[in-house]
This record gives sequence, C-alpha cells and structure tokens, in this order.
Amino acid sequence: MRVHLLHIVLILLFLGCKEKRETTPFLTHKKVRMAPPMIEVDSILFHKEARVLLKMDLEGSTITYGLGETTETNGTTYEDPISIDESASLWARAEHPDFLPSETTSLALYRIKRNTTGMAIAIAPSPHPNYPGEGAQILSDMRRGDQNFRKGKAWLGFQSGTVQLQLRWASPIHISKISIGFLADHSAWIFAPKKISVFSAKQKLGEQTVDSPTEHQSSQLGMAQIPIPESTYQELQLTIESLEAIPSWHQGKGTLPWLFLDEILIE
Amino acid sequence: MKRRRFIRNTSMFTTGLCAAPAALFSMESYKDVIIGHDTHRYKIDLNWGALNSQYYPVNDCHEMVQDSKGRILLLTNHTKNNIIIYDTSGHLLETWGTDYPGAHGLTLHNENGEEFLYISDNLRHEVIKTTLDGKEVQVFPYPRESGKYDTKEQYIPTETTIAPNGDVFVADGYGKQYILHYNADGELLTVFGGKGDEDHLFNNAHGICMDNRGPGGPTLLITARQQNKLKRFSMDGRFLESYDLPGAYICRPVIHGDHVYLATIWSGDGSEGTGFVSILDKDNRLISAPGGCTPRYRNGALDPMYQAIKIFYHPHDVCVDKDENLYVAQWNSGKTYPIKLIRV
Repeated sequence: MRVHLLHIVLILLFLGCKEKRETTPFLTHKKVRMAPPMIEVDSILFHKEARVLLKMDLEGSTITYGLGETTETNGTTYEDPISIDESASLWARAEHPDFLPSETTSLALYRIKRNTTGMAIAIAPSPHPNYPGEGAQILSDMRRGDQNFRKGKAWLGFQSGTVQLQLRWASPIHISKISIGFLADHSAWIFAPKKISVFSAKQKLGEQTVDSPTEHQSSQLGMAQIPIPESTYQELQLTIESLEAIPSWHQGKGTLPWLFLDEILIE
Repeated sequence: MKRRRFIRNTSMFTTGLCAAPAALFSMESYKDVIIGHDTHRYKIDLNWGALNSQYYPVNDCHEMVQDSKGRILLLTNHTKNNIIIYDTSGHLLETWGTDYPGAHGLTLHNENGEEFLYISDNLRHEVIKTTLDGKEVQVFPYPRESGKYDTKEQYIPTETTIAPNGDVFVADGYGKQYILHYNADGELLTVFGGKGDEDHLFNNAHGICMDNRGPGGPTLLITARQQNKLKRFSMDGRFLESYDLPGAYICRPVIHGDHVYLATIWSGDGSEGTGFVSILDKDNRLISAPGGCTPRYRNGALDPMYQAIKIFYHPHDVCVDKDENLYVAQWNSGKTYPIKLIRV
C-alpha cells in the first residue's frame, strides 16, 4: 500500500495535538510575569514640566503606558521620553512574548502651584532617631523621597500613633488645599496614615481618610490631599493619625505601624 | 475512482490544515523559557528543592554549598532541620541540625581531605564549625577581646571564609560591620572595616569570600550590600578596589572558575520581591543577570540594574555545582525551597 504524504502529515499533526504531554521539569512559556517597568522622572514635583523615562531593558520586551485610568486595552507603546506639564497619574506595564504581562505600575506627578520654602514647620513628637531625615525642613524642600527609605535622608519616620505638624508663614497666604506625601511599604511595616485632619486655631477645616491597606498592595509613594475652605491663613495644624495597629493579615499584626512622611504641598 | 481519491485526499488535507494551528499552539505552550545573558543562560526548575513542609520545613533558605560527593547542602533557620541535604536532582538524602535558630551563613572548607562546615548564627552570635554530619568541633564566640563590642548581641555574624591554612575571616554583616580575622585555633589576629560610607568601611558587610583568581596571591571579596558594591581587600585588611553594581543588592560572592556569582536580594529602588542573580566575569564586570535586565556599561560604568522577570523573590545565595548549574536559596519568600537553574 502506498503511503501518501498526506497520511504522514496527518499523523504528525495528530500526535502534536495530544491533550497532555509528558511533564517537563522546566519553567515554560507564559507562566510567570514580567516585572513592572522602571519609571524614571527628573522630579515628581515640578514647576513647568516633568520628563519621564520608562525602562525595561530585556530583549523582546515592550512597554505600554498611559495617563489617568488604566484598562486592559488602552495605552500607548513607549518609544521616547514623555513630557508631562500638568499634574497626572502615569501608569505603565511591560510585556514580552515569553512571559505574562507585568502588573501595572503607576506614579503620581504634581505640578507645584505654590512654593513652600519659607514655611516654618514644628513637629511633635520628634521623628524616630533611626529616621530623622534632615529635620523638619525636608517637608518643604520640594523633593519627594523614593521607595528606598533606608538610603538617604528624605523621609521622617515615626512610630508614635499620631503626629502633629504646626505650619506657620511670615504673613498670611491664600490656601485652598494641603497635600502631604507618605510612604506605604508593608514589607517594612510602613503603612499609609489612616486619617489626616487640618485645623486652624483649633477649628477643623477639613480631613481626609486614606483607603484601608490591602494584603497584596505594592509599595507606593502616596499623596493625601485635603481641601480646606479657601481663605488666607498664617498658621495651620495638621494631625496625622496612623493605623491603631497593623492588620491581622500581616506578620506584624497588632503592633504599631511605622508612618513615613516626606513632603507638604500647598495650593 | 479518481473522483473518490480526490475527495478523500482533499478531506484529509483540510483536516490537517484545521488541526495544524492547534498543534502548533500546544507546542508553543511547552516552550522552555531561558533567562540570563551573554554566555550564562539558564532554564529554570522551580520545583527542584520542593519537599513536604510538614516533615521538612524551612523558614528562610539562607545558603547552600556542594560537598566533594556532589551533595547540595542547604542551610535554613528552621530548627527542625537546619541542614537539608539533597542530591543534584533534588532528591532528599538526609537532614540534621536543631541548634541553630539564627542559621545564616554556610561555608564549606576542605581541611587536609576532610570537609567541615562553618555556620554563622545571627541569634547565637557566634560561628560554629561542624562536620558534614553535624558534630560541633569548634565554636568562635563573640569577639569580646577585640574591644569593639559592649555586648554579645552587637555581634551578628553573617558569613565566613576560610584560608588554606585554616585562618577564619568572619563578616559581622548585621552588627557593627567589622571583619574579624582568626587563626585556626580561634585566636583573634586582626579586626578591620566597621560601619561607614568610605571605601574601607561597610554598610552591610553581608558576604565574604577568598579570591584566588589574580596573579598576585589571594585577596578578600566582601559585599557592601546596602552600598551596592563589591569591595576587594588584602588579606591583612587593606582596601584595594571597589566594583560598583548600582541597583544590585548583592548578598555574598561565590567564585566558580573565573566567574563570581552573587544572589541579588533586592534591586532597583530596593523594593520587596525585586531580586535576581548577578554573574561577573574575570574582570568583575556584570555579564549576566538571570531574572534581571540586560547589563550595560557606558563609559566604564554599569547602568543601574533592576528586576525584569518575576521569577525570584529574595535570592539570598547561589550555589554553583560542578556542571555550572545554579541553586538559588531565597529569604523571606514564603518558606519556599531552592530553585535550580540549568545551564544551557
């Protein structure tokens, strides 16, 4: 009987279609994720423009990014540095043919509306001796810290439950919003504040509650924004409350979390 | 007849065409991924060291060595079995060790044909020398005689390296950042280093090894993990040179042939879960970073490194076997067992 070429092709294709192959011990295609791309920016706080670079240097990878809300289908393929001239939240993810897409990473960029240098700041209690930063003035140096809080002195670290900040200006200034920068890094037992309240002469002007932490939340540089009645003020008091205790899903459950602050912005 | 044959052939051909995409897709799903760069690339066996955690539990998997029989010895700080011994296929051979709650550093040394282990224990604040089956033969207690420590608790040794004559160098990587040089009898000879940012000082002197690759005799390679630097010292404690590895939080140097292998526990901004493996060539340039981005040098300086693939969480040590496969032990990774990278 002649064996037709078509018979051979069909048999080979059938064998390739078997539902289950013998087990390979090696990690295979599309089983693990890419890491999120690195976001490099000249300054998170900027006066006119911020320049953003996205990095994922691995052969075959691409980066998709966008501004504002992210969805699975929107976004632009990254090719050149991005210029941002208004406050915005930038998101990005990395993709590669051999791996699952990365989780989305994001960074909030702020256009500075008001220079805070010249603002006197008093803090109570003092930061923990391990994380004194460079004193209270780092809260008005117009620079954010980064997630490597152990390096440098860009952060004030507290483990005291509630922190009081007293802000004072040489003469009254027009204010409608206060923003305060914080760090959330649960692996280091650092949690976002629970609530921030703003007072003037003991009268509460506004408050902001921060979203409760979740178990798989990645570390973030957060910024809590507290609108207050638009008016002129010469002094303000901020009460920043940490969580009463680290949540039950964390290995430090029940203990007092760390609170890290790095910047105050005024609009 | 011809028409019947034509219909039959056409049907088979059409069936084959329809089956082809599914077949090709199923083959693509089983494609083994390869990580690493340049001459050092690897396939990944994520399950190599997996054991039943009810019987052979681990907390942190800290370090691994290979003995002359080819066995892979893993050190964990779980006191049910501080030492877990595998063959290179990942089969469990034996376990021992219940007295090392702070088991952190593991070094193997061949002393006149007999092999010994040196265990650096963070919680016992001492280094313990044992046989390969767990008999303690010598203890190097905290160096009170150095005058550098007020209490035993200030001394938190992370790693050792052993000279051919039996002299022991201990890195106090979690304590006051000194390097302590003992003779084989345990007598303290010299102390150098300490905490600081200058070249001859350390921020987290986490790992140490002896480097015999150069023509001028052995030197010491010591990681300054928080500084992202690998530092070279003479055997008498003089700083010689430093290799910058920006973005790479390197744990301990392991030399195999001409290359240096370093588990890189964090990377980039040092966030949780950002590790990879670093491999340096004979000139101490980073040439491959399995799990990391492509190493690039511009004007002699390495571009900052970062994680590219979420394979490793917190790699703490790399063991290189005789076939140049790698075994990666991880810290604070959810009590996971070591991963094997197979050289391709």
